[in-house]
Amino acid sequence: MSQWLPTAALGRATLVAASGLTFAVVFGSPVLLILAAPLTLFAAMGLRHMPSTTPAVQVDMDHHLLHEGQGTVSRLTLTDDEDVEHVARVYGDAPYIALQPSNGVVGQILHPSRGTATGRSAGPEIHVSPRRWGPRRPAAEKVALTTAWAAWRWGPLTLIPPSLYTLPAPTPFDATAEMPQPVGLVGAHQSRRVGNGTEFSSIRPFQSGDRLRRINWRISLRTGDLHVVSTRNEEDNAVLLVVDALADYGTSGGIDGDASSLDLSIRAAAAVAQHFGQTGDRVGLRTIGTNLQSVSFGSGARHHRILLSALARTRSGRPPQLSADRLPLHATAGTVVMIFSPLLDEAVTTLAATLLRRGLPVIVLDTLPTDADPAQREGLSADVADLAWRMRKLERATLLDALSGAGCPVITWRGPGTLDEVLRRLARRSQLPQASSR
Amino acid sequence: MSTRQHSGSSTTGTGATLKDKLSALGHGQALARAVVALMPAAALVTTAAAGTAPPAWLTLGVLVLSVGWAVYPESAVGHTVMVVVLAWWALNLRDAMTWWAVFASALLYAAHIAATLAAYGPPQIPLDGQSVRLWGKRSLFTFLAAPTIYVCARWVQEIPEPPGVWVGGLAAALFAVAVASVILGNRNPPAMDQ
Repeated sequence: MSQWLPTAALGRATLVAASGLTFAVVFGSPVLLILAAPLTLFAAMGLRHMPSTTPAVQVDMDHHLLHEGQGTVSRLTLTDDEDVEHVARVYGDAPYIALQPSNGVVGQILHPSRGTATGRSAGPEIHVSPRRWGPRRPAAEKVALTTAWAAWRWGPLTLIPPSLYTLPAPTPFDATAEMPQPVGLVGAHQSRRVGNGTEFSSIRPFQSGDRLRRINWRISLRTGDLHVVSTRNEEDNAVLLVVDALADYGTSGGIDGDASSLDLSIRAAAAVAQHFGQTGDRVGLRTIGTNLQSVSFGSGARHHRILLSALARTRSGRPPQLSADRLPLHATAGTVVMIFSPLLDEAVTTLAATLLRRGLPVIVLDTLPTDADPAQREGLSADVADLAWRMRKLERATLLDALSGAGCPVITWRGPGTLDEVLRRLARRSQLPQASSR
Repeated sequence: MSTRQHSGSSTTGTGATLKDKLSALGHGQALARAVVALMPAAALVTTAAAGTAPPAWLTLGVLVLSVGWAVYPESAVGHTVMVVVLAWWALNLRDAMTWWAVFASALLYAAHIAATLAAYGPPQIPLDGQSVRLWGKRSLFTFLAAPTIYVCARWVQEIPEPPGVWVGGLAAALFAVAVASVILGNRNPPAMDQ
């Protein structure tokens, strides 16, 4: 609980006024009255505005759910502020939070006719923008209220602003290639199965149940038997996004700066989920990190928000007793599995190989930043760390070659069109007979 | 290989150098602090025009203290600087009735107002036009007391002093000091830093 206290300005004015008056009287010198007169008036005005109310301040944000890079306004609400003339706000420095003004310091004279109807008034605003996905808490802010003539101050009070829940930024992504094995119900992808689509499949003899509008009269007249045009079915596809959050490599500078491996994974997964969700495919999510998260398959705007929320909750770290065989992926036949990973953990490569052996189309998106450096650990020299990092990258290259050799495409995420060529190759491959193991 | 946790870009560094701190000052704050740093010494030097020049060491001392006051506008250094200037006027020009006293009063008051504006918050707090206009009006209003007293003093200078006028004045001053002391006490608000 704070209270009104006299400011240094009031103390200084009072002291100088008292000294000037005393000197003037003691020395019989009117010139000192001239010197001290303005400060005497200042002190008198300050004392006259001695506050009597107990103000209350509250801080809130206009929005609590944002995307990376979006901004909101932090507002200060004052009640019982009749004695308040000036409000100063100072925001602390918090990681991945950008402020406007950039130093987080604002001050404002309150309008004399403020809040006369509601009893509340608004202080100066600060614009807040989270620069990285995940829950972001702005640092505590300090608020000071000052009376007229800057004579009395309330605070500074320390206020805790509410947290901002930050979703990954909508990254541009597009894919025009067909999905390899659409085996759903109704969708936009050409299936291998014959059905009520528009893509020509074959011309075959009429069977009971065929629709009359499908009869090809030219062939029927030539052959003497009724023939119909059969088309390929149009079905949706299941896409399973697997995000490797076992570690975060590289430097994260937020939405405007460098991207760490987890930044790339999260943003790429969000972009892919948005694209396939919009085309009617069912998208599911598994994150492998400190918190193993699972979002079941679905589509639509609401499901996309659920996916983004799950991605924003991702925390990097290795769960205890992680085993690639025991990860509950629930990927059924025909599901396209996309793994977003820096591929520096054996569990992920094992997982990709396991899925591949089951006959599922697996695409691995390499999200290791090109400028990722080895971490400097205490007690470990830079040379040793660099050597270990190079060895680790050699191991990684070997694993990538092995994965590619097994038929699992490994591609680097580069935004729109990243998946087109790979999906086309997988679609062609899916036309061939395959053997799979369970 | 272990991972690295990184923080976002910093807006204000805790280990900022003096150059960084100076560059963080806005134009308004820089101007206000310059006024705080220079005006008390100027008010002291004004006595030279009135007939008694202050010694160089005193001027330099006041200047150094004023710079400290400009850096810490809420510190008691400001009290000291102003009382020193008043004392110099009291000791050397007690009987002089000169317009330079009005000028010195303006300089001292400008330093006080500038320090008040600078102390609204941390050094980075901007001085907006609304605040400057409000304090400009207030300053003009309160400063009018100085030339008014000067004119009155010149007017009554020829009139013989009524008996007990200075004793009455002393009593009034002591009463005002006592009232202010009771109200203010020894309380000081904490500084507002980031």
